[in-house]
Amino acid sequence: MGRVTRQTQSQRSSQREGRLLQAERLPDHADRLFRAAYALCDTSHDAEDLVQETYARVLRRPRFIRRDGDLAYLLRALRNTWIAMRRAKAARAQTVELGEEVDWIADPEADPGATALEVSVAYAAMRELSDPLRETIVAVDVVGLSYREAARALRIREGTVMSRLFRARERVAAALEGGAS
Amino acid sequence: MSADTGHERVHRLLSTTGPATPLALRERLAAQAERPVRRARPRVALAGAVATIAVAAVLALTLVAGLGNGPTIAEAARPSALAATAPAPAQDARRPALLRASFAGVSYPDWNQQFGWRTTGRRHDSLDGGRTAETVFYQHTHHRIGYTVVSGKPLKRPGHAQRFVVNGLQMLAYKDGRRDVVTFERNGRTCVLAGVVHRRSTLVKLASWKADGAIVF
Repeated sequence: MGRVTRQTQSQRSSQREGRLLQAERLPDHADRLFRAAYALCDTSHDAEDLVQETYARVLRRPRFIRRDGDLAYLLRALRNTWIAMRRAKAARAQTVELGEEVDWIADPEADPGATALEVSVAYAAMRELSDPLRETIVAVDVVGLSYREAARALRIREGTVMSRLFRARERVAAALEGGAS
Repeated sequence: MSADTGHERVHRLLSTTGPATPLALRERLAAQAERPVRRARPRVALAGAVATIAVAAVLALTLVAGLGNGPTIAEAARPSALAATAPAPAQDARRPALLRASFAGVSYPDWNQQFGWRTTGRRHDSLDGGRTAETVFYQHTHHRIGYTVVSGKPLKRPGHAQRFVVNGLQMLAYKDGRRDVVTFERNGRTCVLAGVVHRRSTLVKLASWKADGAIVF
């Protein structure tokens, strides 16, 4: 099961006091956010648009963060932007067919046995999930938020995070069993 | 495999592996982050600012109404649906990827050899705002598209379009009835590729073809 990241005392105290989101540090989170966007969107083009639009919205004015970490704040912004863009896209009702190719990368601590096929199966399985399940697994497993941060970012209870995460992982695990074993 | 092991595998896989962030996106985000964030203005100045904006908006509207707007992308795409009024330009013998036709510093590509789209004619139009446009028509089987180049500064981008970056070229694409429209810039001019095609990706592919650098953007 997933782990809840333990926060240090200093982190908690700085979160209570609040601080300004540092614009110059935003590109550091690009990888996590792009992965999250790719899990939410249908194509890498949409994912790129989503990340860029999210950054544009966040950078429009100074952001004061009280409780969240940068990543949790950005995930909430990404989710809001995704919902807005999806509504706009649905209104346009357009179909685009382009060759879809992405490169898969692994962090140094990645399971050496994990293959590109497995990762692509996992992302495809995530796209098949309902929105609530998909958002939860993206927040915890893809972005790396704790249950508490994910609950705040998604505006749901921690218990709901855990139950949704369980169901989401269950389905992705089943897809991995069937698709990449 | 037990549920816990399966869940652990999913967690490990998703938290350590994923799609690589495209380099172009990374660069765009870095450039965005470098721009200064606007500072919040004191609230006491809000009423004055609103009044100033209102006056400026009225002035701007008056000016725009008086001078007339530049053409929109949709207007620039219209000639591609009309009939040709001049013969088709031939291939440039010295530069086979290009036609012997250019407008406002933009040379038209020859897609016949590479993609089987042959030229069928051209036309010249006057658009709003004193702009002119030159369109070259191409045909493949029963599909016909127009490649329009608009004189002057780049036109305002359509807000409802979808953005693509292919082969380093930024494009905006949208649907106008049955026709697909793709717009991009070459040499500081707005280019519009429009027509009825099976797939929009055809227009994207044609627009972004650079012929190993022979077609200058």
